[in-house]
Amino acid sequence: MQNAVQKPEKALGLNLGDIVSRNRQYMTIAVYVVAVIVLFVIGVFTIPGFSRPYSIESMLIISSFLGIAAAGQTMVILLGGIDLSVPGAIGLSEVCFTVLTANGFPLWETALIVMSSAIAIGLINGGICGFLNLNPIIVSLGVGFMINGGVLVWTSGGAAQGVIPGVFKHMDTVGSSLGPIPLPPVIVIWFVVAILLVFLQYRTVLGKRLYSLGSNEHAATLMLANRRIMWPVAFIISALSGALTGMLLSGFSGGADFSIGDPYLFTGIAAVVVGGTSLLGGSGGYERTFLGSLIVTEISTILVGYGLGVDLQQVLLGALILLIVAAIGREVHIRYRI
Amino acid sequence: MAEQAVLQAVGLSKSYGPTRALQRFTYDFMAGRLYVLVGENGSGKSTLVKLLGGVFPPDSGHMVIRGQKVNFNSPADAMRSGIAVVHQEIFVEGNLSVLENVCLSNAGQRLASGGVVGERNHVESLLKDLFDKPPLLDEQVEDLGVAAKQKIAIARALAQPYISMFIFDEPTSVLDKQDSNRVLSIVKKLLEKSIAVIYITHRLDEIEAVSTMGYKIIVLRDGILAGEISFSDYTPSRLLALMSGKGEVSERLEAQANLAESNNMAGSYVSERNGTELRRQTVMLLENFALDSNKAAITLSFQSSMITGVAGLEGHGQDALVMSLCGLYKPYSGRAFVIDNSARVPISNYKQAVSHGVIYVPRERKLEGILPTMSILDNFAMPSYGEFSVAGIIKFRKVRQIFDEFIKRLSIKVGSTRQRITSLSGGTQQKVLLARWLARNPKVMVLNDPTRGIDIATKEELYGLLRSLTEAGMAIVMVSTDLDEICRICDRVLVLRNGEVSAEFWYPNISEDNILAAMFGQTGVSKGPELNVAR
Amino acid sequence: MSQGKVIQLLREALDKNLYAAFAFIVLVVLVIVNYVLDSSMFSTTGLVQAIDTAAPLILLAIAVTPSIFSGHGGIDLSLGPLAGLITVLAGTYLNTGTLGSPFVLIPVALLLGIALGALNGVAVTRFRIQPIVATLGTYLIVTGIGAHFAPGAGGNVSGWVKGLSNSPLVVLMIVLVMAVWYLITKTRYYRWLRAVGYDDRSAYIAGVPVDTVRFTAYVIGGLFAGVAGLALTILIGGSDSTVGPSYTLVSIAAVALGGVSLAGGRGGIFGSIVGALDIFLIENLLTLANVSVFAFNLAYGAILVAMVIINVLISNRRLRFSTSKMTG
Repeated sequence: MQNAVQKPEKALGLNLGDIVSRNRQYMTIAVYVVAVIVLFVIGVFTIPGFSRPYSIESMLIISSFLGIAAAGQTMVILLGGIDLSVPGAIGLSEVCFTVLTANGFPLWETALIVMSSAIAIGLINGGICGFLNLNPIIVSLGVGFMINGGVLVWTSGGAAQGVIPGVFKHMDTVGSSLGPIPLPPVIVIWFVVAILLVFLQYRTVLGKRLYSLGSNEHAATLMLANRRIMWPVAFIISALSGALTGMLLSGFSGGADFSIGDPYLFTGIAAVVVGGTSLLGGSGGYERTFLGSLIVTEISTILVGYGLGVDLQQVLLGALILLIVAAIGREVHIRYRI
Repeated sequence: MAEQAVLQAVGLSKSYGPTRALQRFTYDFMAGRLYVLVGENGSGKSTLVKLLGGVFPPDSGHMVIRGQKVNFNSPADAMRSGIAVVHQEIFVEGNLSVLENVCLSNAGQRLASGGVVGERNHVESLLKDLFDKPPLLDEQVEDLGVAAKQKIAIARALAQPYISMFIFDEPTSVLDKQDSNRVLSIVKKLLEKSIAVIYITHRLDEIEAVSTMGYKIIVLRDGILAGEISFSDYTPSRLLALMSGKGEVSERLEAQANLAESNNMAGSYVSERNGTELRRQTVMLLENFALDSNKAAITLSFQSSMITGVAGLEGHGQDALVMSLCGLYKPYSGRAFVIDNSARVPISNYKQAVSHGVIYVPRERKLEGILPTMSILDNFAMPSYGEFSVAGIIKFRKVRQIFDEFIKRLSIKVGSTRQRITSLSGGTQQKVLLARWLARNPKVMVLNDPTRGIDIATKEELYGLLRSLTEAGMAIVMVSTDLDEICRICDRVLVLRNGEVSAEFWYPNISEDNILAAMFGQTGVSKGPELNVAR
Repeated sequence: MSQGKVIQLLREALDKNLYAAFAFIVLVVLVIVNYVLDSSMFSTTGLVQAIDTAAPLILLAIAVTPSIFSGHGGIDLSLGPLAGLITVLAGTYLNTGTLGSPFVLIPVALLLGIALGALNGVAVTRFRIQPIVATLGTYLIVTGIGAHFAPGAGGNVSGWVKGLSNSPLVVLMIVLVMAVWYLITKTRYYRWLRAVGYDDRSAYIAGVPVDTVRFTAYVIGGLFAGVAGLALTILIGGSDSTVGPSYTLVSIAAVALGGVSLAGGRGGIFGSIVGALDIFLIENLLTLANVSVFAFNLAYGAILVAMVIINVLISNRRLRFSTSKMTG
């Protein structure tokens, strides 16, 4: 070709081959609702006492914690990222609420501090990833370490005394209620979070832009979605949901427990994955994580009912993840990425 | 003397979702023959290359090699059967050295006798055929330029131990004249070894260049084998006729006139031009534009109420020009301006362009335009959600209303707008993308190959739409590789050649002959690169 | 060997390992500072002890490298738990009688690693599950199995294992693994691995058996993780199912710290080793400086993020990330 001009797309650094039309199998939500119901039925028939209000409430409470912890994670995953600092946000929040309360801080002040910290965490994570295009695995891992470390230093390894803020004492005990609603506040909060997030996803400009960046970043940028704004926003939501979880957990534990958030990292991701949201971004949503949390909790509860300890539950959860994703979440074969 | 076919394609078909890329392709390829494969974008060329090259299996049909039915599950299978392919996209490994890249298809087996040294010598001699000054064998490929990478890909294919068919998919699109000549010499050598060669190009000058070696020209159109032309019978207009499927050129003009009478929308093409000339105003300027230091800088202006076509052989600068206009590309020199109430507003990035009513519809909708995991409605409304919202909350009823209007206006065939956009055919997707940007009420629409890979009926609808938009005052700048399309709907045509505007035509002086002449140089269809080929 | 040849080899080694340059400079600085604060660590016994302590991390960082190197979002979260599982088996079941002999424990550890690697490899290649999800699944499975057999710390390992504590044999293990990897780098498989890791589409087109290459990478990683499990067993002298998982994230941090690209195709185990040594020395430094143990994570995190940013600013394009690149 006589002195041809190089295609400007190449000059912009686009590897067009990477952005592929994803012909993904998209399991409808109905399947998950059915799964929740089926699991419940299995529980009812095979475990005595499964259908008692007490049991149901307990399950919902556990689900709530998982669901809230996984809420922000869902948003980051929709962008195509992942947040490994969630346990840090949870731990930080829990410790703040217990320790600061023990030191006489009024609740509103503590809440303000926690919220600001969460926003800062989200800004750091999202800012570095959004502006510098760094891998969120490493960035959020590093930030998570820093938070964890910071909390450890502050509390001298957990030696600090903490108390349960009075208000939270009955947030998550079975039988408590929130005003006229006969459900423990934790559950109600979870539902509220769910409604807010789903509303955000599907009815706001922010939500649509989030999806668009996860779906096809280049096209989304042409339509003026800005990753430098959306990544921080998603990570802030993630940190805030972690902070909320920590706050609610402070009513559970009784002391300053910085590691209380650790289990929620992998089980949170599991809830997202089981619910069918794609880790590539752009498809799925919190309604699925909501159901995923229920499914994961039901399975755990059933397994406990069968006498399986936490350890074997973990094994089965891991196997479940593999099975589900192998069934419906496979990536495109390399031959169709050419 | 019965020639046995090296490869027989029997009924090859392949679809991607609802799009039928290739349908029942059947053909016999003979040893030592050169086949030139031609087709517009979206004609099924690249699908055929991928099938022959073993990238994926066909949905139906099969291939027969030397009498044996074959099934390719991967390119490795195709290579074992003697098929070597140089794809259009440059597939080389940046982190490997030149030597490692060339040997990649045969890693482990030495390419030649004599151990390491023998292999290196062999690779060096391969590279000498392609390079004036070959790169060092141990140099990392990612440090090399695009042309060098393409040549290394060619060398790798040539290094395959057993070749019975060699496929070049637009190999010279990034190469200069000298390199193109080298490629043609290689083609000649392959033919002399009784290797069947398929050479894909959309460039008439290359077809001319191989005319002494060539056997047949195979034309694909809309996924089917439209026909073949023996090189002895070749003329450009016969070829163009097969490619566009509308009979010989003169017949086509006649058919157009008939069509214009019978179809209101099409008929108004001609009359509209008379009416809108008066209302034209300059709305955009591209000042001192040049794509590199060797090119003359020119200033182009664009006016409302008309369609400016940008024509030229692929890769001659059209993309760069239109993207510069929208702030998406920084040319060597030049600046884009929007003229707003006699004020010149500079455009330095796309966001500014959009806020001044200039929008860009990219060429590769699959890659750059659509949001594949999202619904049809989302794909339509995404840039407009901000406007149709209050405090960030979207007013869906309004959005659906507007979309319904567009559905009617563009005759978009959809079931539920909540389905994924990938459930629609290519043509319908393109309509949704156009609607997306029309919803922003742009003043200037810059379209890059908008009817690419779209069926004829939808194309006609789009032409009518574009003309009616200009009637209403819009300025449209449209890159197209379809000459017929350009002649029918454009009021003005810029022809690009080698990164410069080589000609400009205004209605009624827009004709295929004029444009072809400008695409190749003043003297009409050029003879192409010098090549001494003994028949 | 002629002087010219030596120089040539040195230059080749430098080119190959340039990606780890920054981490290496940090290492040198850390070594100096550590030496100043505690020269005893650099005596022969001190060094051996130090390396024995760092061995599980070093080996796990090496182990997780092949999967990351294979590209397309490659990673293996399950190797830490595997090491923990091996300590559990060593401390609970393979500690007496015939079962307690090294001829049982060592093959078991290695075979377990290979089996896990194969499982991960199948999930990633045959079932095309994203590596981070697949290895999350196996992480949970392996952690669960480990916890099942020994819920907490404790247990007792065979005498011979105890005897290996603070022995140079552990150093030998590391050297052995490095030697095995070095041999691998001399094969055509390694060239294929580099190709697949950098751009799997081009590799596919060039006829490279992409799936097989990736599968093998996971198996190699599993094998090395088996060795890491042995090192961990020697170090803690008992069983502990909880310590393994904590190594997972730290080993990945070590790899990234060392300049190995998480996108694949770039780097090698040299960077992973340097990164692991960096982390170990930072920990050591903080201890020497009487910084509370609690500041470790703070330091890790800050350094990790800082170094990753710096690595990028030294225009290492391959760390660039965008949604479409999460999977490669």
